[in-house]
Amino acid sequence: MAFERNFLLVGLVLALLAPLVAYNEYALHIGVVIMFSVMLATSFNLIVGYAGEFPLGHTAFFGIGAYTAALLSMRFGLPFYGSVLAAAVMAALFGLAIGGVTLRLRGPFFVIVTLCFAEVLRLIASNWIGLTNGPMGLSGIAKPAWIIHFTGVEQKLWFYYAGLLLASISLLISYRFVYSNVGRAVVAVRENRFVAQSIGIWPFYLGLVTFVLAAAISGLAGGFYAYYISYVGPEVFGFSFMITMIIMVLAGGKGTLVGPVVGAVIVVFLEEYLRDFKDLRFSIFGLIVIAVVIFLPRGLMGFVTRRHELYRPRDGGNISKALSGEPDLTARALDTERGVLDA
Amino acid sequence: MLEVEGLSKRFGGLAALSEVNLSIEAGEIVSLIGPNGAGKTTCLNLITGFYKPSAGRVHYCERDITGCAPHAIAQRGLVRTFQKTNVLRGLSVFGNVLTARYRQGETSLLRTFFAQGGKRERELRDEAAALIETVGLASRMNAAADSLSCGELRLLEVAVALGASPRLLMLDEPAAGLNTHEAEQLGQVLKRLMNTHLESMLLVEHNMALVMAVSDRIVVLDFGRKIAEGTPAEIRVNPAVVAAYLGKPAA
Repeated sequence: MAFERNFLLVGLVLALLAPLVAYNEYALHIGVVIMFSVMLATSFNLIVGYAGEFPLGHTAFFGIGAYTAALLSMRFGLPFYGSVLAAAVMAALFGLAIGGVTLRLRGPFFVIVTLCFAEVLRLIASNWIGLTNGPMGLSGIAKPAWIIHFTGVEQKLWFYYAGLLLASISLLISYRFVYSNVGRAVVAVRENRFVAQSIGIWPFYLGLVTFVLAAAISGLAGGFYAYYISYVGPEVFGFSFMITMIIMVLAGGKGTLVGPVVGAVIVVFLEEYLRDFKDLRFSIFGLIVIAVVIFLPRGLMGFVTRRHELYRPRDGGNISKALSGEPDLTARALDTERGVLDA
Repeated sequence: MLEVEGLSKRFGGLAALSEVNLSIEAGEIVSLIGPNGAGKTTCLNLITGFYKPSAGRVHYCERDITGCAPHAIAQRGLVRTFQKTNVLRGLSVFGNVLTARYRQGETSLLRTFFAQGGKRERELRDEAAALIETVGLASRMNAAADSLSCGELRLLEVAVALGASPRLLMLDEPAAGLNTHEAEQLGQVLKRLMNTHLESMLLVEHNMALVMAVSDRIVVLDFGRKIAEGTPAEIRVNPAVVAAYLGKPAA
């Protein structure tokens, strides 16, 4: 808990200072992509890592956010922050509707049905020409008025800090959520649905809360993406964003907040460095995923954070022996071995 | 406190439980025993909402809870444990019990996101630590749940159930896999809890020493039917019970 908070705060400071050493359009573009990836990975991780379900159609909310921001900006001239916020709200509403249906299913059924929803939305985006301009997509989304006179690199810098702000908000909200009483209940459902029910936790409700929160963050990322690229087409619902999210979350470490952040940074850099390999880089990504699943099932940060994740009482567990004074039922041998991990 | 009337459950053609009546008064430890497959766990699952009964009613504290969802029943103070030891394996001992205090903590989403919940959270942590001491696991507070021995896991399971602030606790074979000494200790913990934390208890158990030591009343099931009910002394000599466990003497 404290480890994750400190890690994220250090990351925030580094991100704030980064433009000082890398002030050029290319580096800032990478920075913007990282911010946007952090939001997506954080959102996906809330469901995969904490609620323990695998929504293969998570791009639905990303796409809804992107289209919402694009349409509000183009048709109604809504300013940047207004339409990005509206994108999050719209995605959350879709999350409520889709989650309300899909969270009654579990395991492979949940995976398939969420995927279907994303695919249906992609088909609608391709065919409802009047609203979405079909496969041509919506292009020319206006940049915020106050940065239009900026030079190219200044515009990138503005987007970088706007992205940093949105990513920080997403992580702050996620942090408050997963380390709250409610967040613990979500993890309880992931760990054991029956135990959770037996202590008064309603799995469907908590799954839905997590799903809606994740959808909102995804929509936020989508709205930001629409403004930055200034184009939205049906491919925002496509599978390539999904693959990126999966790699980032699995490589970084699901079920931790810092894992997806680290994963997002690594994947974005890898994508850049592997650009020379052209199509071969997808094969390389595939190999990385296989290697991670086999050798680091908890991801890069999973090992680091696990020992910090275990909850402990206020005084660090130095509570005196049991009041009853009964001898322990313990086999002490195991104790010392495992104790190293927990102490 | 608990009234069960004519409770029945059929799985297709199999009548797992037929017309069982059962009542538990405040202050009582009632044991439910019977040979394997007698319907004990089915009965527990029906009372706590994990199964829907085919017929019969369950009243708890003057309210009809038949067919309510498991979490809703648990929230009213009727909490159960499971036969196959069930805890949150990825968490520490403390994390398990802290999580189990969910209903006593902050459940409002608005306040989760926008308010400082520090005080309530500290209370929850103290309460969880106290519960772990109550069952005698204080020295294992920060151990990972999946590193516990079988006996410790059973105690943790009790602590997790206590975390939900039960009035009536239903334990499904808490002594399974324990040796004689461990089972005795468990019995002492359970008896102590009756004075401090619980109003009543239903114990589903095969360990006769434990059952005889703690029960005020025993209900015996066989092939889904209630065949006897009485004090431990009465049950010990009941011919129907002896026949169910050992078979009828040859004619």
